[in-house]
Amino acid sequence: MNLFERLKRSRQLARLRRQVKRAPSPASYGTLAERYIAQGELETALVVAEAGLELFPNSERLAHVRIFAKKKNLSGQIRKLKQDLLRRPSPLAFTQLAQIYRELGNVDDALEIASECAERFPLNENPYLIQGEIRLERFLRDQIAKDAMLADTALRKVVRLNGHNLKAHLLLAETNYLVGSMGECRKHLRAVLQIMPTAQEVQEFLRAFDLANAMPSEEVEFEELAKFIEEAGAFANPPEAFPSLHPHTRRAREAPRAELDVESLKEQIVQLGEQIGVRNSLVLDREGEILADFSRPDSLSRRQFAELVNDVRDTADDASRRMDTGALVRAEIEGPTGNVTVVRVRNLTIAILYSDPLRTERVWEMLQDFIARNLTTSREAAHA
Amino acid sequence: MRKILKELNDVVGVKGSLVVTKDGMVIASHLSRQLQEELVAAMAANVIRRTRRSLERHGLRHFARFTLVASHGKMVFTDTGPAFLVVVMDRNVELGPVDIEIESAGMRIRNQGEIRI
Repeated sequence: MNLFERLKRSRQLARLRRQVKRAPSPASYGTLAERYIAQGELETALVVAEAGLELFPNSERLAHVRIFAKKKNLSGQIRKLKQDLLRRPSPLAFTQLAQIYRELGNVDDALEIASECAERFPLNENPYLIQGEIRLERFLRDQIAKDAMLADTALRKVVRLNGHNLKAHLLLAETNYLVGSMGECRKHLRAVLQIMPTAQEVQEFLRAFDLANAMPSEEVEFEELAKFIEEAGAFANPPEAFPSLHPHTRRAREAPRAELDVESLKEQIVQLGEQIGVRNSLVLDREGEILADFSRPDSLSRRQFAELVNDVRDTADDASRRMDTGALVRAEIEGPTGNVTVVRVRNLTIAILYSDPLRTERVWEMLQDFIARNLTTSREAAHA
Repeated sequence: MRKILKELNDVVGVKGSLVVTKDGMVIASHLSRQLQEELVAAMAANVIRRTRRSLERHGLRHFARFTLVASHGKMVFTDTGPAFLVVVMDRNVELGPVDIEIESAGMRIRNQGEIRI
C-alpha cells in the first residue's frame, strides 16, 4: 500500500470516528467497525462494536460485527475443544466450550453444552454455574420470571455441591435482591463475607442494607416474587445499587439512563409520521397508554392503532415467552393492506403502520435512528 | 415437504421449521432437538389466530408474513396458502440472507398445491 492510499484510509477512519462522536447510532458504529475489519484490525473493530452495543444492545448489525471479530479469534479454540470432547469428554472442556459460546453471544448453544455437561457430570458445579449466570443475565435484561426461577434453581445446585462457591452465593444474593427476597439476599451476602471477609463492596452494601432493613420482612415465595416482577416490568430493587459481577449493572451504575423528554418525543413522532408511506406512528408506555402519536386522516384512528399495537405486542411477547427466547425486540407484519413494525425499547413500545413505497428495512433503520435520538443521553453519546 | 424443510434447516442459524395449518395441525416438521413440535405448533397457531383477528378487526385483512425478533431468538411465519411455514432461528442469524431461503421454501410449499390431511 502506498503512502497516498494509507493517508486516504486514515482520513476515512478519522471521518467515521467523528461521525460516531457526533451522531452515535447503530449505523455509525457499524460502519466504523466494519471499516476496521476490512483493514484487518479485528481487535479495534471488536472494541468499537462493543462500545456501540453498550448503547444499542439490540442492534443486529453490531452484534454480527462483534461475533465476526470474535469468531476469527476463537474458531481455533472451538475446534480443539470439540475434538477434546469427542476423544475424552471432561467437565473442563465442556465448561470452556460453553463459555466461548457465551462470549460469542450464542446463548442457546452455551446452555445446551452446559446441560449436556450436567447430565454427564452431575456432581460438577460448573455447568450449573454457567446456567445460573446466563439465566440471571437474561433476567436482568428481560425481566422474565422463568429466567429468575431457572437462575435460582441452578445456583442453588452450585451451593449445594460446593458451599464455598463465592460467585454462586453472590449471584444468588443478586437474584434474590432483584426479586425482593431480602432475607435470602442477606443470607447469601453473609456467606460471601464468610468466604472472603475482605470483600469491601459487599461489606459496605450489607452495612447499608442491614440498616435499611432492620426489621425483617415477611418472606414471600421466590416464584411469586419473580412473577410479580414480570407483571410489573420493574425490579423490586435498583440493579445498579447491588455490588454485581455483571458488566451490565456495573455500566448502569456509571452511566444513568436517559430521561424521557415527552415533548420532544411528540415532535419526533410527528416528523416520523410525515415520511412518505407512513400512515400511523406512535409511542406507548408500559401500560399501553399513548405517549405520542401521529395519524393520517385516511388511516386508522389513534385509538384503533394503539389497540392494534398492544395486540401485536402481547401476541409477540406471549410467543417469545413460550419459546423461551426472551423479551420482544421487534415484530414486523407484512400484508397486502399495510405493514406494521413494532419495536420495544426499555418499557416503551414504538410502532409504525406504513405501506408502499416504504420498505421494512428502511422503517427499521428509521426506528433505530429515532431511538438513538430520543432514548440515549448526551452523556452516553460522549461515553461512546 | 419434509425435504424442503430439511434444506431450509441446513441454513446456518435455522433451528427448525414446520408447516402448520391455521388451526395448529402440523403437516410437516423438521426441528432440532432443542425444540418440541407440539410447543412450536401451539405457539404458531396462537400467533396466527391472534394476529389475523386483530388485523381484521381494524380492517387490515390477512398478513403474508410475521417476523418476530426477541432478545434470544427469531421466528418467521409465512403464509403459504393453505398453511403457514414457521421458521425458528438463532438470535445471531442475519435475517437478510435467510429471508431468501424462507421465501423460496414458502414458494415451493405453495406450489405443491392442495394439502390433504
